[in-house]
Amino acid sequence: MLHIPDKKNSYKDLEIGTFSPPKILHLPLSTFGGDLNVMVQKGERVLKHQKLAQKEGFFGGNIHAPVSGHIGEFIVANGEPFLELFNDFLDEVVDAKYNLPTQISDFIQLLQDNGIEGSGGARFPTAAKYNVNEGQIDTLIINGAECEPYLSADYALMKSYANELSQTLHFIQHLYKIQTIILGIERMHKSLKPLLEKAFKDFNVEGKITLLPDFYPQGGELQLIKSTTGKELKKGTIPSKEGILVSNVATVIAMYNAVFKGIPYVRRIVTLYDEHTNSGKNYWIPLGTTIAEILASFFSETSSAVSVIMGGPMMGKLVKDEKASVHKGSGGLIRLKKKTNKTESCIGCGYCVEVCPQNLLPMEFSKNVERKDANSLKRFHLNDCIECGACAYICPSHIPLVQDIKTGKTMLV
Amino acid sequence: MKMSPFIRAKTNTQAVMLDVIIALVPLAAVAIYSFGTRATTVLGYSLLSCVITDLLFGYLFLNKRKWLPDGAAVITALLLAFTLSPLTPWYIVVFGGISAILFGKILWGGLGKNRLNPALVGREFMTAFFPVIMSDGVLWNTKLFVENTNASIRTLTDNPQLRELLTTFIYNPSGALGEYSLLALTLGGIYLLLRNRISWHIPVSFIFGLILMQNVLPTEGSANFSLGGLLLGAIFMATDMPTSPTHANAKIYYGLMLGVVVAVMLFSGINNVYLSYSILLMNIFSAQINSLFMPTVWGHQPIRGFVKWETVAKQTLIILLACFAVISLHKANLIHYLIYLFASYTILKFYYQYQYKTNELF
Repeated sequence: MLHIPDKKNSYKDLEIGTFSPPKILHLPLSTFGGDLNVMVQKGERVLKHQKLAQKEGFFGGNIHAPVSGHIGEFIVANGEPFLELFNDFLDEVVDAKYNLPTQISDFIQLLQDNGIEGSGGARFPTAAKYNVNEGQIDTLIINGAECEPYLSADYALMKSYANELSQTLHFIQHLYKIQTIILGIERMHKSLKPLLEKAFKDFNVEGKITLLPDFYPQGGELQLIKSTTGKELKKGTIPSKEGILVSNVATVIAMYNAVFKGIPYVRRIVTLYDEHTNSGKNYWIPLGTTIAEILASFFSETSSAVSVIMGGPMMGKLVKDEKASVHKGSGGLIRLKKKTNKTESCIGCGYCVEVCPQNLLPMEFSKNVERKDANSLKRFHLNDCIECGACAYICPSHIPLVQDIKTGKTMLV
Repeated sequence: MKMSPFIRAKTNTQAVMLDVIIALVPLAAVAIYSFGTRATTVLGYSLLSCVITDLLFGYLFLNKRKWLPDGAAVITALLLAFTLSPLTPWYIVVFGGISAILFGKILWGGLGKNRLNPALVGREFMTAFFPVIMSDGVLWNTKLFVENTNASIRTLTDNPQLRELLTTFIYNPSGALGEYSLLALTLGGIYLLLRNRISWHIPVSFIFGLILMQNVLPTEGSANFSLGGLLLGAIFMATDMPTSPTHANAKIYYGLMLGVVVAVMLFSGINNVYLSYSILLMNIFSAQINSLFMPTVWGHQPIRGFVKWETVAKQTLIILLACFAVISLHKANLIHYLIYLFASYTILKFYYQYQYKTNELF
């Protein structure tokens, strides 16, 4: 198992900042199940929290206006569609009907209407995940393991919103008749345990706080399920079939706003980190705030070559176009110094095998992708790879394993 | 970097190689202490020939435009010298160094792509091409040339137990250059273990397999082995990264079978070369063992029972058959033909591979 030296301890306890909405927002239109259908016209005036785009069924997270203003053009950045919104700074909120849901079907509809999505990164629609029967779920696992180095957004949420978190969990527990709720946090954040335990008690949540080892990738769904329940599920298993649901802390907070306040998913917490100054901080950022806007206000000018990454350094994506914006799965925006590593031949050290959480043989993937040998890729269970990047991180030959693995997966389709 | 992960552990292949070199330095020091300039000559010629061959042919054949040795050639050179007698003539050492790097590594495609331990390949080439000198008993009659003898070391202390310890565990200048100090060997091994450059699996299962077989097979008439030689093989050669399996279960089986093969070779009376034969033999099966003992993927059902045992038994049988074949060839004095065959094979392999292959990673 892999331990990655981290820097988040130096800034994780800073107060959460609030990023004021900029003049122009680019609302992301692509979601888990494809692009959303836009419901407004160019030039139309929209109110804050008004629904702007949606998708039929449970596989798209509706998007709402974080501010009031006028609709602009369609924009494509990083190959994904965005909708332009001009802020008029009047902050006129849409008048929405709202009731506390009493049935599962109402609850799912509420999640769907408010565009709640998994906030850990995969952006799986929460309505689809919670579309299960009463009594079907024994264990709800809340993922508080933010194993990505540098990111501390979930930590900050757990610290500052322990009551809101517990209130929502209590509500879900009663609605679904869930026996136990396990909140998993990493050992390095153990100072949070008493605080969270008290909040659980105050809001009558039946469950416990579990301390998890500080290994990467502890926050992977399958690894988390094993650490909290002891069940080792094969990749591709639907946890709810085993009586388990897993949700991210940030998702639960988004649910809180929807359930108790009637506010749709229009902002999320994001860790901003700059390697150049070695400083970081958590901010509430309105969805649709462009990368350029954030870079200009948080990151100082630098002449050295940098790469900006959306998400964490291990599984995040390189930002190629700063017109792209913060979406519901972006827990971090980090700027790292540009590094070049020369790739060398595999020396068979086996470090990648040691760190692979899925017990795979990663070097065989690179080897067989190079040989274009799809049968061997299958034999070495390529599709069980969760692309956590632990192998590529540790490889002394700097072989781009994740890149090869992604190529390999396209060979298997 | 265009794709995740965007951070990397602060390590590279040079760091790995440097650690192995550090672990080998005490052995070189002990060798020089015992045989002075004779040891320095063998070590020096081995180092020179290996490093120059690596740079020159890496440049010519593999298109390596960097003139920075990666350290692997130094390891090969040291290991090769450690298997030799301090009395080995310098031109044979140079020949060994060149063939170790050329046929053991470069022609396979360079660092990491070789399937056989380069140092041992060099050693076998020396035996095959200079059979008379290399198997001459005179070469191993080194007693007269020791500069700091056991006897002089014994005078350091009066305590008989300490004396015993000194002359068996700490310093015993007989045999090949790398075998003189069990202490230095062990220290090197511990250093590599602490730095995670080797794992315990291969050395431990190797020794276990050997002891087990020594108890099963009658030891009368079998060849003698040197403990120093075995440790050198177990710690530094059998664990060589590119030529041994990469994960725990495969390593354990690999080590175990290595122990068995060594015991069988000793039993059949093969002197001196039993360890290099055994390690090279097991090197050939390393890749197969690697995939045979593939770890159970997260959440999958492990393959157990008859199917598993059948495949393992088959593999074991194949290894034993290969072992008997090597013993027969050795007894018939035909091993050098095997080396000629190997040399032709590597040349052909290189010729074909590098005509059609452009990507160089594996």
